[in-house]
Amino acid sequence: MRKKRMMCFGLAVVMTVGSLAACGKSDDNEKQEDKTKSAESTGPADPFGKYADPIDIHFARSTEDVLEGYESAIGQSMDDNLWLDTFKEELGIKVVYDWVVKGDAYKQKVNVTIASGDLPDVMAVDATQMTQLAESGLIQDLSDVYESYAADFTKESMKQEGEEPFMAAQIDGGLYGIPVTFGSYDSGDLLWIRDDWLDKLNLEAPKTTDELMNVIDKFTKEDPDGNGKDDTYGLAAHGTPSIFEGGYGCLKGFFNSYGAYPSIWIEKDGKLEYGAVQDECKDALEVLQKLYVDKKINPEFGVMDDNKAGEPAVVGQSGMSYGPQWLGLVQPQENYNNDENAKWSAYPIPGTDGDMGTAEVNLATNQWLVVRKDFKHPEAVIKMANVFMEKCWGKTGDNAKYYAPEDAGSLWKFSPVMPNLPLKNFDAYDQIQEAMKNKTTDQLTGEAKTIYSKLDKYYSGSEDGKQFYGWERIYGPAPTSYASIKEMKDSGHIIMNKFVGAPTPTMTEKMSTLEKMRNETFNKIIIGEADINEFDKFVKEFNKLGGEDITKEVNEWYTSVQ
Amino acid sequence: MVKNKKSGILKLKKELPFHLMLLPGILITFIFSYIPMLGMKIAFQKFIPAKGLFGDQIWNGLDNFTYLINMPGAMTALKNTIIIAFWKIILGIIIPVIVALMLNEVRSSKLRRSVQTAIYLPYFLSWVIFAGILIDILSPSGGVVAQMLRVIGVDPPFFLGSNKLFQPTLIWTDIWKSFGFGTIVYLAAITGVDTSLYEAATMDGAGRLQKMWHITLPGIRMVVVLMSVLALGNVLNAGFDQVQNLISPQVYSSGDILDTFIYRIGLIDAQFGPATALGVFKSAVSCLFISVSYYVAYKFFDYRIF
Repeated sequence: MRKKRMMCFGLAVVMTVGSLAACGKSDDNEKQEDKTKSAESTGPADPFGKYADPIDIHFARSTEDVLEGYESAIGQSMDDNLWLDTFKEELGIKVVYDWVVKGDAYKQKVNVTIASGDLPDVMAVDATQMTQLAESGLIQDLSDVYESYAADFTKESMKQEGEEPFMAAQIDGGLYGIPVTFGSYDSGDLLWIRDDWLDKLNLEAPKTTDELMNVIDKFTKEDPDGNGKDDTYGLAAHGTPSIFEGGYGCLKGFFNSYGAYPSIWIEKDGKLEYGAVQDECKDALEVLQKLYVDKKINPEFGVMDDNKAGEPAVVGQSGMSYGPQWLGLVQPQENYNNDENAKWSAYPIPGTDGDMGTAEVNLATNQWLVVRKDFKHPEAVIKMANVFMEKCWGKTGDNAKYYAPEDAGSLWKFSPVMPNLPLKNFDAYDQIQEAMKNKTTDQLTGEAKTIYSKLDKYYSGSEDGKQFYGWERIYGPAPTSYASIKEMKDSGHIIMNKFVGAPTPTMTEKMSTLEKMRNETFNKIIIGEADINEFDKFVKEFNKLGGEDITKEVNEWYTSVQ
Repeated sequence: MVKNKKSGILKLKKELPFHLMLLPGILITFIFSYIPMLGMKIAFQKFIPAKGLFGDQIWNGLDNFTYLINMPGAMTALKNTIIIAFWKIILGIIIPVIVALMLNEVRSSKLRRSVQTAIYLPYFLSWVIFAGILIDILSPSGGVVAQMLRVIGVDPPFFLGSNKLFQPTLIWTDIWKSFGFGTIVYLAAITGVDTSLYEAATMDGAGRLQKMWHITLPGIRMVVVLMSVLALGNVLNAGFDQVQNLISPQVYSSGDILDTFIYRIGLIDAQFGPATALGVFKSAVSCLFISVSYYVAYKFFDYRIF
């Protein structure tokens, strides 16, 4: 038993040796096959060109519950679905999954895969993993294939929010990953509140932190659910895996309300600084500690993840939480399914100076598709991206069929290559508001059209339409997710992570440890096991254990791009 | 000489099948316990996994070790490991012995058997399942324990979320899960005690307690020593399965053990160098512990494996 740890690494050795041997062999085979194939596909670069002789691409990917649910619901599964059929028919590409794992395990599995050296042809990795892979020469430079094969629409879309998604993938002048783009503004926190509770207690939606405290107090003590029992908590919170990650009960926005930006790099006097070590965090922590002592947040929050923290909301015992725009589809929708009087709204986050707060957003593109060094068809990935973009949002596309059909809102996730159109949600929101104002739906296209028909079903009041309550709370007229995000964005109340480059050397090595230290210290301060002054100790430790070096490297990067 | 040699060959011939029977065990130990020790070299490298174990890695001496010493949490994990393992070992011996002695005094074999089965049952559940059950029954808001405590007017504590209570909770739930197994071992040992000793003691007018103290306990002494020596080798394995399934960031400072710590920095953060360094350190300390415990057992109880 005492050798268990070594045994693991030993096994890794055996597996590495074994798989290397296996690799050698299969590579030879592939090389021969590839020779014959590439001979056929020479010619000018065609972004949508079909391989005359179908090729296989080995992917690795993550999955989630919702996709597994589609197998019984609509008969589509990971290995047999609309997207794989489309790629096969239109491009002659057959997708093979080497492995598929669920959720959080994906990152670990990728780490193990990198350690074993047995890479699939294409997989999605995070910035740190991409840097590691590029430095050890296991993945290829995609700049040329991207230039020649990416369709104009793909290129435009990926840069819709700026160059940032590509910056982290730029290593030594090469492009080592195709960004899986997402809308960054979509990831900021909002304040989700049950309006019917506010009405019952004669309260207004809080605009300042003082008002927020008042609402938290009343939601805790004045029995907002009216069942005569003391069973509600003012503000939802969760502490696992950290207080800054996840949906219901996320506390990122709470810190933002106090002018603290605990998980991004902010600019201070022309220099970049890590948000979690700024004094503002101390203020927010002090308030949270007080809330905990007064039992206004769930005493068990530290061991809860967002699912667990959301359970009281579903049964009507929790009515306020910070959270991202998509939260509407989860707890508020489920709560509404149980109780039609539940009225949820998403407000801009409160601030300290009488104005609304400023929400932090990180670069939402946090995954890049990397291609194994010896893979002969790197352009295939880009072709797939072209097709994906075109089908979902292009002129010839059919969003309702490919992206989010009514019976399967996440159908797009079946595609192994899925860069999103970063500003599509804003665009859809604008189109929908326009249509509602003019009472015409003619000009609606693509995703906006799909969403509008969902909202329409909800407004019709039919039993069937109730499942679209969450959609209405996201795209409907204010106060909804996009109304509030737009309000915050237009008035400059969204702050973007200033560091978007590839992880620096010290960052690759030490950042995750430092983040863990942050999470642990913050949790302990909130539950009162550590004094608030522990924060100053944390800042010192942070700098000593690599934070200082990281800050230096980050600033070197910052000067280099300015 | 000639005769001796011949008999030696004869002896070998006779024993050959037995030696062959050893072979698979030796092979497996070699493959899974000795070859992997090559991996220890990662502890002294700035290991880049993609280059492979025998690739062109950068040697960095003891950097990984100094990194760990400075790393918040590593030393706490070591401290927690020792405390948790110590109590698990001590209570894991005392409690089963006491229960076995008590069960031995139960006259009704039907009752004895049903008690035995009942306490043995949790041993068969995996920690994943048992931890799920524990989380539910120990929850301060809806758990059975909390509800019972409320009935008698006590404010239920947060067993799995408080740094004060997490360690005791780990220790007692582990004992709960495993003491049935130990009890059965000791009960079996008790049946091996010579019954004539009891008869003689009865003749001399010894009571039940006296018999227990002077006959049963010395009779199973060797088994107790054996179990303790075996347990001491595990002193730095405070129970990965259990802790990993019950821990949360809130109680890292009291519940994080070396194995969970290594798991997090190694597999989740992909810091293979430091993780291996910690593994090497752990193995060295475990090796020391088992040597000492074996020596002590030999010195004081005249216990030897070979």
